[in-house]
Amino acid sequence: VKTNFSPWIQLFRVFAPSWRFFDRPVQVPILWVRYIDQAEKPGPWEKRLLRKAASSNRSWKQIFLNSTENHLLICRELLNQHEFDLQHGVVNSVSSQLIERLVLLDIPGDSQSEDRSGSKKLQYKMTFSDHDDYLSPILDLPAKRISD
Amino acid sequence: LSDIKISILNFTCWLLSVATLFQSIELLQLKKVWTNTGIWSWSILRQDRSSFPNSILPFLDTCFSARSFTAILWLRTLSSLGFIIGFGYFESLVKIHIGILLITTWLIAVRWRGTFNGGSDSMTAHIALYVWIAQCFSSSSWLVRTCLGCIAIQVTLSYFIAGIAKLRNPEWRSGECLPKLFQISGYPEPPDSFKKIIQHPKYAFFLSWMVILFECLFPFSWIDSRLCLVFIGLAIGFHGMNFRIFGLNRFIFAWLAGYPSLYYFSMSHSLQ
Repeated sequence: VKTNFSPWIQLFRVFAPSWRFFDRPVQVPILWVRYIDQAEKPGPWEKRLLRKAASSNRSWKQIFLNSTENHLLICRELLNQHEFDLQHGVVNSVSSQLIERLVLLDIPGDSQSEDRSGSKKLQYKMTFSDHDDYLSPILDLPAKRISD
Repeated sequence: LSDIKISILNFTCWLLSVATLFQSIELLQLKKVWTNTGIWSWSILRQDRSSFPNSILPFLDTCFSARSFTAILWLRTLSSLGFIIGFGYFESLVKIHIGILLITTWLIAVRWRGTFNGGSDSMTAHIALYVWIAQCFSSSSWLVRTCLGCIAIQVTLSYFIAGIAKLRNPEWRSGECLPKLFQISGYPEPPDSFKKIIQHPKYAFFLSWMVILFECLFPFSWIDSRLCLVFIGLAIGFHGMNFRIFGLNRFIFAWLAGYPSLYYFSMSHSLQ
């Protein structure tokens, strides 16, 4: 996804050969979320888009249909894209808007343990291996979860 | 060889349809995340396309509304299913079917900012393009052969270039890259049993070189049909492991559709 190509080139990007699989590990930023309760007290940071969550119960049947893990993969690519946008000073990018929605939604296959009915706000951060963290503004949780 | 060529082309269409069937069902399963209220809402994604001429954006808006995109995915699913269960016997329908696969593959990629699933989408699009050209001009023997050749080259380079890139990377040569790939990459975590194996430097070194050698030597599959079958078997095992370790299921079916073309060239070389 990381590219500065023109939208016209992106339009036909799928026809460009993609060959260099696994030639080097690309470090994916870690996405953290914390919920802020009605007394404005932030809770602990929790990791999102956990790599382990979806893979722990993988069976051979998923060789045919593995939509949950494929979606988690594209969500993690989105984190890389957002990192790229941040490094290039892109403000209010499409990636940042998508990540806002990502943290506000329940992601299939991602662990969502506790009931958040007491929380009204949310904040996320992204941590990187080689530069400073990104801390988002505080976001209002919708009265009803977007995905509901 | 001419009859074999057409059979190979039809078999490629069939395997491509299997790949697109599963891909389409997966996207339908994910409908919740790409409708207007989901993460990947077109209302946000279209901002990437805002510099397009006014003639194109309305077309994309029409295609990517939740209702239209659902219809596109169902069309792709039913077309693939129809071909798999036997509509491929009708020659005129084959061209329409592959045309549907080509256009819908492209539209899905545009919808997802270039590709949904990287290399597998790219391979699917390439095969659909060459197969569609070959089907449209099936009376032209050299053109069909050229299209099959393009698919075979694409498959071969997909391994060979990846292999050369690994060979040039000192971390891959020393076996250090493989454990890192599992620890820090965006791919899902491998099963615990595999993690234990890969943490052992000797095994990591051995596995790294197995992958490098397999990928770098893949062009030898063109030399002989029996050797080609060995490489295809190894490739299926390789993709099977990638599924088991990383959950990358789409690569198996996308690449499977490319192997008949490769086999055709190894066979024609043997027969000559």
